Amino acid sequence: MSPITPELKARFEKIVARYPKGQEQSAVIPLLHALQESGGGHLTTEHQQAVADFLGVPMSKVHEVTTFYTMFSLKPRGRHHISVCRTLPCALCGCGDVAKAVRERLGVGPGEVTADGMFSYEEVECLAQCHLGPVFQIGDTVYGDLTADKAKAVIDGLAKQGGR
Amino acid sequence: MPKLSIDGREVEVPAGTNLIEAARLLDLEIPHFCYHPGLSVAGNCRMCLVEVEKAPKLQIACNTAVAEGMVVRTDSDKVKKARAGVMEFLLLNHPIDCPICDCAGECYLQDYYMEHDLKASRLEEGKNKKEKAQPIGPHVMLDKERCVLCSRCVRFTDEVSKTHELGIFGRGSTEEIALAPGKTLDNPYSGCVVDLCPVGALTDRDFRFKSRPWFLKETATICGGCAMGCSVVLDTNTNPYNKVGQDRAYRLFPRENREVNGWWMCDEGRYSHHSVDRGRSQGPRLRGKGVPADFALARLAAEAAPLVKAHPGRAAFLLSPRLTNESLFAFRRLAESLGVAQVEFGDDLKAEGRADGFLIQADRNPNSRGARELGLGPRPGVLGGRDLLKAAQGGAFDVVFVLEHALDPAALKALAAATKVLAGFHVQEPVEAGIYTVHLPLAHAFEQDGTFTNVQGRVQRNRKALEPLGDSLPAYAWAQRLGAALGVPQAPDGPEALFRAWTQGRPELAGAVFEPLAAAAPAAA
Repeated sequence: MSPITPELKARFEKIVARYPKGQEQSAVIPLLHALQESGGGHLTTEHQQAVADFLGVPMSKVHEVTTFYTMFSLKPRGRHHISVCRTLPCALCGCGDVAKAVRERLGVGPGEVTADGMFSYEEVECLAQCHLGPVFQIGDTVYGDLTADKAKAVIDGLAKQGGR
Repeated sequence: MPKLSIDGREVEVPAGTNLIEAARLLDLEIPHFCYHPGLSVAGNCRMCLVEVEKAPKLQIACNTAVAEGMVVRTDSDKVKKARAGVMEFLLLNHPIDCPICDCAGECYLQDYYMEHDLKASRLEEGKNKKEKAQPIGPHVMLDKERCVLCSRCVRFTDEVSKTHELGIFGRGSTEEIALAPGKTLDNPYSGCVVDLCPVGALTDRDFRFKSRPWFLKETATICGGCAMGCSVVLDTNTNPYNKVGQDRAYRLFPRENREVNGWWMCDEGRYSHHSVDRGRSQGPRLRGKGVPADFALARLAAEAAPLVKAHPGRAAFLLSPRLTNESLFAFRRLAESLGVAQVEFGDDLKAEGRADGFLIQADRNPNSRGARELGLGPRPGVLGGRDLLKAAQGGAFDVVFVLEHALDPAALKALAAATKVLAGFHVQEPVEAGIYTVHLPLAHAFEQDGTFTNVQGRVQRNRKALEPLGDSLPAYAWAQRLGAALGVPQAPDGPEALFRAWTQGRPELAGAVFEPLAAAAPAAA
């Protein structure tokens, strides 16, 4: 069964129409985003194959995109997904301590989800918030000027809230 | 045509040529990993950086087209420093496991390190660990640690085989070549990625750990797997001390020939070299019993000569599209001197397969076109292969010579029962060798000099790489010995004299030479 529902197919067609004829494959990233949003927060092999078939590109090209961008996840994530930036400016400002604090607070390593399914953790490349470094991103929110303590406080706050 | 100067030397090349190819014309090698003339330009390895006058930064030679009056330097300090820098990055996480790497001795990293780098690693942290020795298909092993991510193999599967099995996945230091989900590298041309790989990341499962490349002798020859006749290099090793196993032929890989196979060859052809060492017919047989060649020939002559002399019309030669032009010509000449008219190459009996529209031809024989052009094809007054067998099974012939045809055993038995003398000549020992009155071993194509005419009509030189196994001989040599035994001595011509003889009176081949002045060297792409 194709993971592309009729509603999703209509959305896909609208997205593809934004691109010039003959360059439909340019729509690969917005399509993957749409599928990831509607498909439970991560992309399975079937999802990627469906996008490849929809655009008429080889599966390998879609998989290259999904593995390159940390915004796409190939595994289920926690309710709150924490992306810690590890690129140079953040590294100079001490993202190593932040990352260590997050790992200790959650008890998981990169790419892992906490046992209760609340948090997942990942180290990513530049989040384009270098002026705020070190930073991490949870959902759509970027937290800047972090220290180990601040990072733990943010996580504690989310944990107290429970569900979103 | 634009004229430019490279390292102070003038060269004139067609517009659109890139700097690597232009430099090649001056015998200058611009080092490169990702550039390959048979693939699109990727420009990702940065090894081919050169200085172009008036350009503010170094330019990649692979993606810089020549221009009128361009001044290029490939040997300036700036270029040398850039190359050393690129090498340092490429070797940063390289495992340097050359002692156990199949590619050692023919690795771009080794060569370029000696030429452009020669520094110790400055990396203090540990190297990245990745997967090693992963089989990714029936013929290819992948070692991700050795990979320099040049993407040649990915471009090959995208552009040449069009099967899209491979991709570059991940990002930054975790970036790696891998199979797309659910795929294996199993396409008819998969072995080509091993030739393309400039380092030891992709190795051939058939060749792995069999021999060091520096022990191998290269012979530029032709693949006999189908009518295409791809240009290949055959690597052989006959020294018992530095190899694994008893095989003499180690590997076959394509040789650049833009008129025929480009840079590629199919896997079926690539692994066909095992046929030179396995299942060979090595000794003459008289009704299945091993006997010396002279004895076999004498008995054959004693039984066949009176019959042929009395009724040349009741003798037949069934030749084969697997024989060289020279051997076909020698047998045609022998038949003529015996007065035998029934000489044919069995066009309708030959091995056929499926054509793929790229290199693989349906006709799995190297010389069908050559045999037809030598006048051995179906023609009035001469029975074609199938008709000949039918007539012979009905008792129309006393003496039949069969060369290189894998006949159905039942048909063969019927043939033997209806003829007085049945002589066979084969490269591989036939299961039913005992059915033949006399069976003589033929040398493999890799064990003889000669020519094949491919499907395009191109007469191509097949070169001897090995000595014939056991008592086997090229078919033309058997034709001469057979002639002597049957009382019609043949000129003791070698392949070159036979080539001159059969090309005589063929205006389209006027001026053709058997031995080119310089045998084509294997391509360094």
